[in-house]
Amino acid sequence: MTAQSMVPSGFSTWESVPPGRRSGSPDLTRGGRGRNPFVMVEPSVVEKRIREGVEGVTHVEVTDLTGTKDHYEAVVVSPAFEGKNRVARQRMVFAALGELMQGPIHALTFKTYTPAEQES
Amino acid sequence: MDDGTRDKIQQIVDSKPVVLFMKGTRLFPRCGFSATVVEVLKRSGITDFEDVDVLKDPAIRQGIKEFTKWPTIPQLYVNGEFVGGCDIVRDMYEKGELETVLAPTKAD
Repeated sequence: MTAQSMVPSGFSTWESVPPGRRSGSPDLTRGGRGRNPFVMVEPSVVEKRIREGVEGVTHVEVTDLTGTKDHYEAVVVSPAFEGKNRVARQRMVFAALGELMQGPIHALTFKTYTPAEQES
Repeated sequence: MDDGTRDKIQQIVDSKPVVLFMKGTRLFPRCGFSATVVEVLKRSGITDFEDVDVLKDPAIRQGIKEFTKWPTIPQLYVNGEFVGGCDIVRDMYEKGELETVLAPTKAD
């Protein structure tokens, strides 16, 4: 498996650039604050992952808060949140995003609702 | 995460009724989300809490995410229980629920 084949679609990364075309220091990929400046996630990718990964989703709205594709706000509505506290709900969304939370997404702020809560 | 790190984190969590894993310190937060939780605790009248700067220790910074099964920082613990990150803590504060959670720590 090549490094490139491990990159989910929607990403551009240091590894996806051929070695001869790379510029700057490779150490940048491990950025001073644990961030990879070459990795960005499109809002559509975040939305798709939540739609596919959170059971019964009826509504997803993802907003890029800073225009830098790494600070997002997500509004997620699903009947699967019924009877679950905030921590459990947020864990469900984190689980859907998986490795995206390990660096590409620096910050994600949430609103999680059941369909009934959304109406009230 | 190795057992040493796990034990160390458990000790920190148990060290005070209110423990906040954050970026920076309560006096000099280095992330807006961490700063928000510090402010919420201040407004809730919590003066005696342990602020753990994860930026000072890479093992704890990574370890706390696995320990809590929660991928982001800050993380607030009250009486050894994980309460939530910035969104949850702020939301609970606004709805008056955080007071209930924090009340037992003030009684001591």
